[in-house]
Amino acid sequence: MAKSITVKKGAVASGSSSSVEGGAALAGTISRDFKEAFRLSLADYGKQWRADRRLRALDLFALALVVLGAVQLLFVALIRDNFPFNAFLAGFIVCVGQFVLLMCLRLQLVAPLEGVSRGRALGEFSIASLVLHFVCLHFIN
Amino acid sequence: MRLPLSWALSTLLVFCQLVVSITPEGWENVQFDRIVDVRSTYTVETYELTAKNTGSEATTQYYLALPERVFQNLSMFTAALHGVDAFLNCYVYDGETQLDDGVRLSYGIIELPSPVAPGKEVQIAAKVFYNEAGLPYPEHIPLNGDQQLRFQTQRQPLSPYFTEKSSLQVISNTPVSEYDAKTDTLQELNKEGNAFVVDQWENVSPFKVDELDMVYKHNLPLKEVINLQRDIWVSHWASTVQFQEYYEMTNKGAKLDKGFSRLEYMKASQNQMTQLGMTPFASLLEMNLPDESTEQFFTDKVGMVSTYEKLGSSLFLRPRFPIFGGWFYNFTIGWTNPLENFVSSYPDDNEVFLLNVPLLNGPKDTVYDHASISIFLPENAELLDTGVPIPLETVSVDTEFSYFDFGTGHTKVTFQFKNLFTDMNKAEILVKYRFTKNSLFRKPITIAGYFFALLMSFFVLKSINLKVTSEN
Amino acid sequence: MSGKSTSARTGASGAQLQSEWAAAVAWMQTVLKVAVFGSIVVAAVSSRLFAVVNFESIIHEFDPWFNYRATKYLVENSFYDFLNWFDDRTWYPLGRVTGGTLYPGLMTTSAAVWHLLRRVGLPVDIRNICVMFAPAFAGVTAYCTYKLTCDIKDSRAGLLAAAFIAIVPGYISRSVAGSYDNEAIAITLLMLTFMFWIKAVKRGSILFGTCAGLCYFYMVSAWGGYVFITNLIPFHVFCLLLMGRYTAKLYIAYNTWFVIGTIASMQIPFVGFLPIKSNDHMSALGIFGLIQVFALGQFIKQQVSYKKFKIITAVSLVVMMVVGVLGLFALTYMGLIAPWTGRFYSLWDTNYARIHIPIIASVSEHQPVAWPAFFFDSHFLIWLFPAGVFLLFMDLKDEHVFIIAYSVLCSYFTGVMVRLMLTLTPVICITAAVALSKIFDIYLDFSQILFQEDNDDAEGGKKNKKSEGAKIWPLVSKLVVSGSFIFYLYLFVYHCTWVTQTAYSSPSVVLPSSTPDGRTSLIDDYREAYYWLRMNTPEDAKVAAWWDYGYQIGGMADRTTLVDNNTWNNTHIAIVGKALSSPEDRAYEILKEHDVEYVLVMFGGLIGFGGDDLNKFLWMIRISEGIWPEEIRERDFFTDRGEYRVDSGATPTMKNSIMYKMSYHGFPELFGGEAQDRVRGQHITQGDVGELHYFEEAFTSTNWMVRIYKIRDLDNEGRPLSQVSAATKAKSKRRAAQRRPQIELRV
Repeated sequence: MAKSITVKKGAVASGSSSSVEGGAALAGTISRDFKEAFRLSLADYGKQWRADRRLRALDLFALALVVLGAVQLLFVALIRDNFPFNAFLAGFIVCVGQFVLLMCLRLQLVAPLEGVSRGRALGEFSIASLVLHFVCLHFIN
Repeated sequence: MRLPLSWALSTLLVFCQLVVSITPEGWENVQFDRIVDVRSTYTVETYELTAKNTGSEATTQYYLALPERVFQNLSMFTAALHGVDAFLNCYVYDGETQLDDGVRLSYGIIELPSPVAPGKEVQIAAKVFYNEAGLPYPEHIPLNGDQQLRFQTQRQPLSPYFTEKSSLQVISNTPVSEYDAKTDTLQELNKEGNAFVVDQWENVSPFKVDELDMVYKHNLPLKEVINLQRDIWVSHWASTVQFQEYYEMTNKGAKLDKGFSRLEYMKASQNQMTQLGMTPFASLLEMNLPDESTEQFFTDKVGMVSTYEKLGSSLFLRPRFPIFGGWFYNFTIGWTNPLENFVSSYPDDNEVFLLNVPLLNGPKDTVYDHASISIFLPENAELLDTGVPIPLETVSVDTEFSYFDFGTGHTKVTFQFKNLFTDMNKAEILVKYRFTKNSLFRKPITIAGYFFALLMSFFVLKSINLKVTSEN
Repeated sequence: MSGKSTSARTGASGAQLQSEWAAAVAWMQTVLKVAVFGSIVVAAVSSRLFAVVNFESIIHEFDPWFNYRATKYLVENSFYDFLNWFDDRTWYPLGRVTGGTLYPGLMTTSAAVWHLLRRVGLPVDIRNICVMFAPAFAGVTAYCTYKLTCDIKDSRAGLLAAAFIAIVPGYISRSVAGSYDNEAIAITLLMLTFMFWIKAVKRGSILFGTCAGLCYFYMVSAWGGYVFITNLIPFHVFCLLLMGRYTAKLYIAYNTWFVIGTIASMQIPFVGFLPIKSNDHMSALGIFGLIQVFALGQFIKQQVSYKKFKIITAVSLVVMMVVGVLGLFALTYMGLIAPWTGRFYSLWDTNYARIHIPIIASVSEHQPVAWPAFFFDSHFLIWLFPAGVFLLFMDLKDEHVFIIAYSVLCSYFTGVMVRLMLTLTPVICITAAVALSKIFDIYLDFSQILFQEDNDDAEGGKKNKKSEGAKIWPLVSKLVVSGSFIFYLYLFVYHCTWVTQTAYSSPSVVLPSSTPDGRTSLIDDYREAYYWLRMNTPEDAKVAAWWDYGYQIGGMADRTTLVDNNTWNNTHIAIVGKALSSPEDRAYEILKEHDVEYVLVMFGGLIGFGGDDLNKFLWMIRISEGIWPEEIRERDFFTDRGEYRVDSGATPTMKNSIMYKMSYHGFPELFGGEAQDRVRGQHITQGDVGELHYFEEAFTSTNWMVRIYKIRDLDNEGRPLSQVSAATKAKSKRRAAQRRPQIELRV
């Protein structure tokens, strides 16, 4: 679980800092491409952010989850002991899981799939979240 | 006996309390003939008595002394007047006395139908059945060896009364020898007619203790059912009576001196005596089922046993392994009979029924330490009365839930017995109950109702489910 | 069955115009479908009942006996007691943490069924529930397969697939009545999980993803083979990603499944933290990360031009790959992730097990599959299988990729391990059903011909005669093709019934045989001996036997065993192997150290039963040689010419081993000094079989198949037992000589 997040971050990071590697000219174009992509995406995201209040709330929640997960990870890394491993794992996974579920919901809200209306997506999302939280609570002991 | 002194004292005190001052006096045994039958797994003692009232008053009670080994394992005690074809009322005194030399006794009390005037004589024939056979002697024998039993009983009459003339005979299929423990020698007894005569005595004083030790060959298993659980299910819907019996069986006979060798056993199987079942081990059990029984089965704790066969009304069971001395075998058998074989309705009230089932259907020549017989009446049946011809330990009534019992469950009557033996299978248990037409039909209606409710709830649940999804 | 479904369809297309008529036909279709389905379930259940009808309601084979025992424990105790169950009656003296080392899904389910039935007034014996468990779940499997195939093709293929899976021998082999094994429920759950997975992928619904996750959890709780799902679903996703088929649906389906499935699977005590530690689960985790990147990439792709996006993707992919692989190696190296298990290696290299882990290789179901087995287990489906896969390739939808991935992976693994035939069977059924229904779609569709006839009739006259010839050929070809396939179907049903009846319905606890006078009888030696143990030995007696019989002894004889079929401790098994292959005095020491009182060996020489201990003896030797190479040497048991002999040509080591002595003790004497071993076809003479000093024959079953020996207690003078028995023999001779006159006197 921990790895997946770092991979994700790595991907984001490589988007901004991969200009270090590669030959000079090639590296130049690549880094320019990356910058442009980054800028465009950010812009589009900004558009979404301004357009829909619900998405804004959702993203804030997702951000909070990322922070929460990061804090837990940091805490475990700092005290160098993960003794109640299941408790940590449950806490961490519930953050990641909820984040991913939120992303799923977000995808469905931005562009509804056929056969799954927005309302239904929300309902399904809540069922999935309930299951996730129940399992994690059970896992924490 | 290295028992703690305090324990010994306390038991002594208990015995003192138990020794109620019953002083069986007032009789004299004119003739006291005793015949001990040791052919079976249980022992039958027959008393042919001629007693004279020597007291001053007319009396109705005659006391028969029973030594410890008899009354501890006593299964039946009957008496009749000589030449009269009716049993006398007789029972065993509830308690025991101890003689001066430590021999413990109890009494069988025979109630005479009319008081016997002083000086008059009465002729009584009494029978005592008890679940004890001889002990194997020697205790360990080879697989194809002969089994001998050593049996101890009193020699001269043990009676609370003075005895003028007495005799003792032993009935056995094989020669009987008297064993002298001091010299370790055997003295064969003479056979007269079908019995072996031990001796005759005259003028024996009361409470005379004189032990006889005898040894005889007994090449039959001593089958003992430690525990029998017999369930009888009465079903008016299926119109059947179903029997299911669980046996915990062992063989009290001589143990094998070595381990069981299949090789020797296969050799012994060629033997004619083995094929006739004249062996100290039990390789075949003959169950005596009621007529018209069907759907017999034979299982044990690991599943079905395929080696059984029904011939006539007998069910021959071959256990998974021959039951040698000291070996155990637990098994279950069952069968079904039509209802009308055992249940009849009263002519004046056709909602009252009388169930009439045999006490036992077990194998031949077997004793039962403990038997629990349960009768399951149909659901909602009302128990009216029970009748059992032999003394029982307890009887209890409760309910048991079986298939599709949504109401009160089956009424279950349980009788507990001790010390039964095979020949008691002629005895019958009577149960009278009321089972109305109403309750006969109540059951299928209840079941149908539940099914309906189930289906309805399923439909309701389904519609609720749909709503939730459509809202979403 | 296929006939029924197609006839309904033809009727439907014949009445397209009138809507009322169409509604009635649709209703008819539903009724027919339900009827067909009902008969499929009946067929599925009843074909699995041969074992009960021919024999009895009994638990089969070896592993089911443990499951049965565990279920009984669960029914008699609480669920928490069950999870914390420490079993001191196996693996003496170690014991086994049973609650933490089993997959509780099967037992929990049957206990739940038991409680439920009690609630509704059906107090069924738990044994009968266990026996009937697999057939009942086979019915559910048929339903799941139907649903799954409906999503792959349509309901026609679905019904065919359901009918196939209901009676295909490859699945019946593990799900006849009485075969109360994890696989009985696992295949159902496998199908259920896949069904929800396909639905989730098709619809992009979080709900179905969650359901797939929960079913996956159930599967994890029931069978160790769940790893197959753990790898197959990521593999499917990976294929789709490579094919450039990333969609929001895929993202939703995979993420919900993964998150809920992973956290839930960690609830099973036996699995624990494996999903984040073991390499077997890493692919799922990797794909989870990958799909996040893809989601991000997709977002970016919408913004930038295609060309630039390509460069960005290429660069970041390379970076990620390097980082990921390095990270994986680093973590494995640091010991944070468990390396792949032995069984996993043996999947790739068939010889791995034989060289490194004899215990795994010794299990027959871990052997590579024999080719005829494919035909034996699936009959004509096996050649429809590639055709079906090809047809799926033709219109390659997302869900088709899944089935293709499934069939490719599974075909390979089945070639390695016989056991995995079971997981291949469902996909064979599905693809074969797809192929067959495609054939029937074309060749069983007579509507065109019939309609033409109608038109012709309306026109009437000469034309009719003319077109007759043109019409007859398509009709003939259709009739021939569909007729031959219907004939194949008939053969298939016949084959399935035959295979089920002859090969898969034997409980293997009871063997059928016939008496000289032609009647059938049962060889019931196992139960005879186990029941003897149960009845006539002390309740805490320890029984040493080869591990194959551990579960049965635990279940039927209810006695403590040293080793059993849960082969978790190789050393302990090797101890038993060593004892059995050692000479008497050495074996006596080993067994006494472990408080063993009885030794049980299987001997098939009298009736020619091949699966006896002397035939397994080489494995025992090999396994103990792996631990004590200087004490037990396989070479010593072979003659100079490299033969495995048990007659007078056998090596001294062989003849001295207690396995040899115990197997043949008294055997030559049975035939007057020289007997033929009917398994190995060799003559054993009286002189070959040495005497037993430390052991005493305690019981031998009717057909000599099970022989139980009691270990003699040490003489109280502390003499070695060989001397004691020699001395007593001399003494007893003397005593017998003295006694005889006495006996004569008595009689």
